[in-house]
Amino acid sequence: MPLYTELRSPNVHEPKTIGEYADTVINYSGSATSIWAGGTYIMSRPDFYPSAATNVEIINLKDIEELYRIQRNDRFSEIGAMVSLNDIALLGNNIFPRSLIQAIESTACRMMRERISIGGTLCLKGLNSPLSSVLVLLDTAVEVVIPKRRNFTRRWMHVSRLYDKNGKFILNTVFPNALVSKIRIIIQDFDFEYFSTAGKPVCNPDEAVSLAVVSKLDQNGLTSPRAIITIPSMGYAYSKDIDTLLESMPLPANENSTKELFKNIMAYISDNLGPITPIQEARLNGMMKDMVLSLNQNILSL
Amino acid sequence: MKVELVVDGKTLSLNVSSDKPLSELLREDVEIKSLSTSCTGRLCGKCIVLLNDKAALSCLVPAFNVKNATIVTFDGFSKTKECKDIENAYQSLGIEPCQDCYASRTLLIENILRRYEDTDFIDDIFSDEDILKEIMEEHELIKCYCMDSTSILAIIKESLNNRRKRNATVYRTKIS
Repeated sequence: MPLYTELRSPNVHEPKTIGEYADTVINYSGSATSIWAGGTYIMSRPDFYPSAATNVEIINLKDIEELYRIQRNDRFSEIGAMVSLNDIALLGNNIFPRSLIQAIESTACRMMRERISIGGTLCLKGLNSPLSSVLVLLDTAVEVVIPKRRNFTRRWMHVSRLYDKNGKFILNTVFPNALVSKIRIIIQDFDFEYFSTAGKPVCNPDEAVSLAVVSKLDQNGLTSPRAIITIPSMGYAYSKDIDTLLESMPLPANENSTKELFKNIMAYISDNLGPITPIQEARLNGMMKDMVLSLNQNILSL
Repeated sequence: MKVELVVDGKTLSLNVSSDKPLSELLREDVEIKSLSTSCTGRLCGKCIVLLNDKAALSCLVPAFNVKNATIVTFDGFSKTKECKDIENAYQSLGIEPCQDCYASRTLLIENILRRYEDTDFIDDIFSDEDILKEIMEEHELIKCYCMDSTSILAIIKESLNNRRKRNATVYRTKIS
């Protein structure tokens, strides 16, 4: 017989509405709770099972019908937190920014994407996915359900408020047991979009890195550009300083200005996130050159 | 926790730990022989099963999520006509996966066949770069390097032809 048969089986709660969810988390506020969306990330942790630390109350969200709804109008799409990444990629292939679709496709293969929910991807503790960074870049809003004594409130906020300035997930520190219920993605167009990722953020976060840039483009160069660099194990670099560096870059950019940009971005990362691994640095350098090349092609074809 | 599920056509009622991965449940409690390895969530890709008709890595599905689910493992699938379509493709092309990944790769191919078997033009699938990339990404999930991408695509194409021929025969028999 296996050695772990004596371990306690965690209690599983399956609320059917947001109200029931709020009741459950309030009733068990003294115990350790674990909120499950798709569960792919939780189960891929090496020490997940068998584990002595299983004395938790699992709250499984799969029966809350509201979390599967998708609504769309001309300006935005509202997507329930339990909608799978694959459904979003299929739904939004022609309406969402290309960088978002690329970020979804880079998250995992189709078979895995069918089981990964967008809400779960946003709420990973200790890991930043390139997808959550791209959603920050695209000014996505999220609806957060905040359980309060015998009741709950709903509040819309910018997705970046789920994280601190360096991308660490802090929602549950600010609002204990809060739940992301909806994601509102704005339907917008950019003249220049770039997304690239290298490595596997879930399996090997110390080697993975991703870069996303969106901007309007005219003959003078980039107008209000936004860039985000994701270092999955550490957080993300998203700052007005980086955006200003991009905006002030003369276009078409030459090798020296690309080197200068990379040097400044590396300095920002090392000041705010800490030192990154040499492979991440090399990959980021390659992405930066590729991005500038793509930018030059775009500006010269105007 | 009591879990009722259907595995390879048999209805079972099991008493297991609620957070037990499906792969462990199938190996230990149902004694499925095709799931010989246990990566415990390290994504080796060798524990694929069909969960409610879709391929899934069984090490990433907890027991509480398979209540009333229908699961097909390679043990059950290997006795079906659908499996013969794929195995005939292995034979006719003279390529087959190694014993280590045979079960998972065959179930993954079956998942891809189900997705595209109703498509009118097979050649369209194999000339669409996005679809080919998607198929290869799925196969990269299986951490075994016994087959190259050309062989995998050839097997899928041949299996798809076998499946469509068989479906057409069944259809004709029904009409007559």
